[in-house]
Amino acid sequence: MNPAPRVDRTESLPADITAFIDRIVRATRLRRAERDDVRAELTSHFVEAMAAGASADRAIASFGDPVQSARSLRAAAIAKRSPIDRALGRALVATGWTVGVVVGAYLLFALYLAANAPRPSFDPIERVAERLPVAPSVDQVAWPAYRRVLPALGLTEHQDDANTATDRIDAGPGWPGRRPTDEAGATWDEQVAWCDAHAADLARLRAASALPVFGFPYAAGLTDEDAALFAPGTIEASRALIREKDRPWRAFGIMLPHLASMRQGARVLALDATVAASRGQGAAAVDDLAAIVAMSTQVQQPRFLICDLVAVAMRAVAAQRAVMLLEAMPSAFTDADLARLQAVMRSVPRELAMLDLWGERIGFEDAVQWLYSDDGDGDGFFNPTTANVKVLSSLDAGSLGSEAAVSPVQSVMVSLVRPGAAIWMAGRKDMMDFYDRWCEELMARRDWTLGTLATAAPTQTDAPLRTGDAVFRSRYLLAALLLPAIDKANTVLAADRAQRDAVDVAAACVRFRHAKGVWPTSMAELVPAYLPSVPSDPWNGKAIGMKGDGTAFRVWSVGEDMVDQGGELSMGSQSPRPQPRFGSERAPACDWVWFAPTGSVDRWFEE
Amino acid sequence: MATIDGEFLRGAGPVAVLKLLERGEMYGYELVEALERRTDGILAMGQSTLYPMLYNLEAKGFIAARWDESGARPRKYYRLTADGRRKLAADAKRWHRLTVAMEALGLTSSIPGVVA
Repeated sequence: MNPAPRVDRTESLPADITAFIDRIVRATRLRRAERDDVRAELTSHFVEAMAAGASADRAIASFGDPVQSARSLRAAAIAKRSPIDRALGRALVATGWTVGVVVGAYLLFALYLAANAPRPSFDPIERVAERLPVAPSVDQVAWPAYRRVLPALGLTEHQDDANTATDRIDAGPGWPGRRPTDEAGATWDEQVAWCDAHAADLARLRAASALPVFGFPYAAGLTDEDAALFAPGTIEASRALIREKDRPWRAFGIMLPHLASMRQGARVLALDATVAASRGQGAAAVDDLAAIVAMSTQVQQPRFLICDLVAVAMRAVAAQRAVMLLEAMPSAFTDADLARLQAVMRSVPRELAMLDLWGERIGFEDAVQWLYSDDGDGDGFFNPTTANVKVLSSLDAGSLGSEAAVSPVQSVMVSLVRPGAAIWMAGRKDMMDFYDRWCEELMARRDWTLGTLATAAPTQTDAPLRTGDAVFRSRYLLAALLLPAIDKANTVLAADRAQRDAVDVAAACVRFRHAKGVWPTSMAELVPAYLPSVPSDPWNGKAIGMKGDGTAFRVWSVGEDMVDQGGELSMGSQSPRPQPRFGSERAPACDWVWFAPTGSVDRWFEE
Repeated sequence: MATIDGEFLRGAGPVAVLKLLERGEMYGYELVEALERRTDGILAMGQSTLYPMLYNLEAKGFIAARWDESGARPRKYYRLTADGRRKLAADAKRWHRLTVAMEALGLTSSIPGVVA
């Protein structure tokens, strides 16, 4: 059929007829061309009726019900369309309904989520407090002593230039006859003078380390008595965290400002040990090293991963300094000193040298209770408030934000996105189960050696997170964000155990030489008089390497490459470091030499 | 003269339109007038019924339409197609048999429009 003519004769029709036609045409809800055809036909009809002498009222009345007419015209016009066209039309309508229903359901779900915002059920600070050891009496608590002695040693929280004097001492060479590597560092003589000037304070530091309960006020907040050690802002922030119980993510906000001071305290004690040994006072040196190890175990009250990592770093300071002293100044130590040094290295409770994710679980559970609704049965939807979304994104960026300001636009955006996220993200129970299963798998590896850990496949639970499965990572976003922090913890703790084993063996060798006048020729000679058993190599599980006599005497582990290079100290560009290496993308071809009494400590100062 | 209600007309209306178009093409208003005049008003249907009926017959291929703009007023003319002729022939036979059957029952007289 030729197209409908342009309707330009409606002007000749009375206004009520034109309105009548418009009403019918609009009510048909047909496509434009179809509407044009209907309009043209109806216009033609009424033009003819008027030409035949009918009045407008009569023409309208005899036409019939306009609503019924529009409905019938629509059905008839659709019937005229091609079968494909009709099928497409039906599909379009069905799609429209489906989309409408989905959007409606989505918006209803958004309302449900808005009405079921997360309601935290526990106070993470109180839960931490439950685990803190309780001292039988006040004089068994170390923190009051630390907050007096650390400022006296200049080990206060860094603010502006307040600590330059002690920092300068800390940056000195730390060894007689060596020059400071840092231009701003003190000379060895200045370091010795500093230790002498602070002998009484260092003694108080050692005394504090001997107390059984650390007593840092995690749960009570810092007080005015801590003002000499920390900046006013730190003290206020600590109090605010305790006071503001409705603040989200408090577990991650627990303040640990003491860790830096404790770690620097370990370094000045290592310096003091060197000064003592250089004067032939082995017992005093062991006292300092023992204090470092004791401080490290105090720092692990309670078990937060960051505290563990600082504790391990402190013990590394003690262990490395001990081996340096045994290599360069063995004559400073009596057999009793060396036996005590061995006891110190073995004194770290086995539990403290193995992974414990108790503190991390509090943090995780706290995050979950702020991000998930709770159906009362331990399950719920991922349903963060806008402020929590901001905190989550700051966590992803590597630093935890707080008190995020939220604009109304952001709130609306989050409300609209939230149902999608709730559907996509793992549910509360699923997320907690995933985390607990993952922790169990990591805990099952807590006594593994460096070599076993390095060659092990990822655990069943975290394998998809490591292999970069984007879908999986996004579903378990919260766990994925925490993975980097926990990932290497078992390895770091295994290195801690191995490093103290190295001191134990080195001390046993020196004791043997003191007693026999020669170095041992095999590990077996050290057992049981100097060692309870022959240690195995932490990298390959075989017997630890030992060779030579005189200045060529060596004790070594095969190291990260797991290839025995005979304990060589000079490997060209692959110069072996005295510290344990791990986590290298490509393990260097050299051994980890535990003990090399060459008379020189150069290997400890090589870059 | 009383018209026939819509339900009854549903079967008769399309046949009547096809019959009117048998002689040649007609436009909408012309059909309205013819139905009124030639059936003595009995098959006069509301125009709101006629136009959808024309669309339906066109959709089924029994009639075809064209716009004629050559005159003073544009008109949409409808004409019978070949399918429409066959349909009209078949329906006419059915209506004939129905009328005979009704007469046999004494329901109809020979005078059109008078119920016995």
